[in-house]
Amino acid sequence: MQTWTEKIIMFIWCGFSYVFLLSPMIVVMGASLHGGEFSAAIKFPPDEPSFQWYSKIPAEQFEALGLSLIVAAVATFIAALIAIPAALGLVRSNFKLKFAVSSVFRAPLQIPAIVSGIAFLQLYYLIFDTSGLMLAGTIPGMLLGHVFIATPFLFGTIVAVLQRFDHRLEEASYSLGAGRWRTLYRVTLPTIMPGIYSGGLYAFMVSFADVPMSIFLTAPGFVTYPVELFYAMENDFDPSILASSSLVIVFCLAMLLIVQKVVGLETLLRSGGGSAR
Amino acid sequence: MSGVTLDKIVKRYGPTVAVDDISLNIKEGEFLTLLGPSGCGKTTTLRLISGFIQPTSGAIHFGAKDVTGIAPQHRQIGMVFQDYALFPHLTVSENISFGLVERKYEKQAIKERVDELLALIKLENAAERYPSEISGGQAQRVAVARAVAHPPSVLLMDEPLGALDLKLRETMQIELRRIQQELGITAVYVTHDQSEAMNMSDRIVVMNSGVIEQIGSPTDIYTNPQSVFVANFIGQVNILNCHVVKNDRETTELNYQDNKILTRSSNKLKTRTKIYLAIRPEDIKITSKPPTKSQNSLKGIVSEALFSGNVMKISVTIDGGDIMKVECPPKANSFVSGDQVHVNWMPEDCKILLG
Repeated sequence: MQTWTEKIIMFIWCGFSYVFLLSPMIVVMGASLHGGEFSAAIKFPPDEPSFQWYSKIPAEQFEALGLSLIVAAVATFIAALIAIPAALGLVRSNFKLKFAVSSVFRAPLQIPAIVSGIAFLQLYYLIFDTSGLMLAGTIPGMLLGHVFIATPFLFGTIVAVLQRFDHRLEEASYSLGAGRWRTLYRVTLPTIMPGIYSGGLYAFMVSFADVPMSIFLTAPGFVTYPVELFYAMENDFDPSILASSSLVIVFCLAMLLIVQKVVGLETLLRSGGGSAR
Repeated sequence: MSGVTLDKIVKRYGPTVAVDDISLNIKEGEFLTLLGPSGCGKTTTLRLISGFIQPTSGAIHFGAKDVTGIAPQHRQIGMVFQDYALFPHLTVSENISFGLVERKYEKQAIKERVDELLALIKLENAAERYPSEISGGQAQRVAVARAVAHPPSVLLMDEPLGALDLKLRETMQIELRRIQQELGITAVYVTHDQSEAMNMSDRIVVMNSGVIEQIGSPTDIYTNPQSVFVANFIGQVNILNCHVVKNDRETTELNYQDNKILTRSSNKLKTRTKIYLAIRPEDIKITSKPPTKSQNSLKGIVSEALFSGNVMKISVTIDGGDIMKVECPPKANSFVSGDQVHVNWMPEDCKILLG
């Protein structure tokens, strides 16, 4: 049994954690409702609440948001195509350089994104010099960078799920007459799916929120959403940025709720896999 | 469906020999159990039959067909695993139909077969549940139904009842045996539990360190063990170190620490040969006075008397130091430790073992 003191300490600590985690979002969403005259300072709580700044969000920000969503989705998909076979191969094989190869797949996590960004830009200049093909400021160029930073998140979670995978499930499948590909399709992939989903969610968020690398791969008229916000903050701040940010927060919460309904957030966070037992 | 033949099978892992030159003929429709302590090679033998591992040398036949080197998915086996290995993302009926889909059955045929099997395992109501939503005993039955959905040449079971509690295990033994007989399927069963092996099998193969110690029906193995290992592993037994005094046509006379012991003459053993004499605890009677008839008898002191319901388990320390375990009906035997007693048994109730 918890004593009263324990309960009070628990309550205060949990309350503090919630306030700490949620207050930035509440301030941003609150201040976006600022209804008065233009002000360069954030007003919280807002006076004369209104949605006026929501109608003043510049069109470029919506374009940037569209680009970001597409880039994040495609980059996550490509990263999954790389990470799933890589994880399957690495967990199940046993060769000398196994750990070296495994570290290569995790390496992008260890490199500061800003360094990766510079490296990619340099690489693209080099390719431009030799072949005349310019990748910086194009969708393929942006995707390449995002796949690079997103892959380790998928790779890591899938490896973790596979290490707990019960190999007898595959043996059972073989004994029932399914070959290697059929077993992969009907048993292995479905059982590691929660890991793929949760890794994919991480990868998507990392790609969607990236500034330090993307900032090097943009071009005028070709800017991802967080970079666009970053520029806006630097150059001409007004509460429409808060309004736009609030929209994205609401959008993300809605996404989470949908995922929760469809897949079950519990499964995602546990990245269950192996067995439902 | 078919019988299974193992021909001089050897499986080595580096310098370790897991299975050492095993030959075995499993008859069609037979329930055969591989029994032995852990590490005796029984599971390796099962995995060799299933095709998950390949023998270092030797051949495996299903009926007339040589399946050596063939992958498990092309062997027509049914396999039941220790903790069932049900697919967690599929429902009970999807688990059962898994193999049927792989074997390209028609939709209607799949439905009919699944319904038939659900009835066989008495789980019609659980068809749409997931493995996480059913009990251990139910999961066990689903695993069996899945394994036999597409009738396999042979049904292989690797300690399938190991994870269940005692009561359920006994029910499931009967259930498994019923399903196997109803389908008339050849079954190979692996266990380390001798009572399970006795209850279910047509024949038992007792294995020890990679070799077959003895093959026979449960009665045969119990009443006629061929080695000290088998006698010890199947049930309880008392082993006395004796040597042969003389041998005639009907009886063999043995010497156990200067006591004369008679047994049925079964071997042509030379005088002075050292042998082990095996006597089951339930074949021994305890008396406070020396027996009158031509029984074997040794003197001793009761060192322990345990009442365990249907039997009285008494340990007697024989003059000379060996301890003999005796099991007898509790009512007629009210001995307590410290009592001076005689342990007696008939000459036909003991058996000479050479090793």
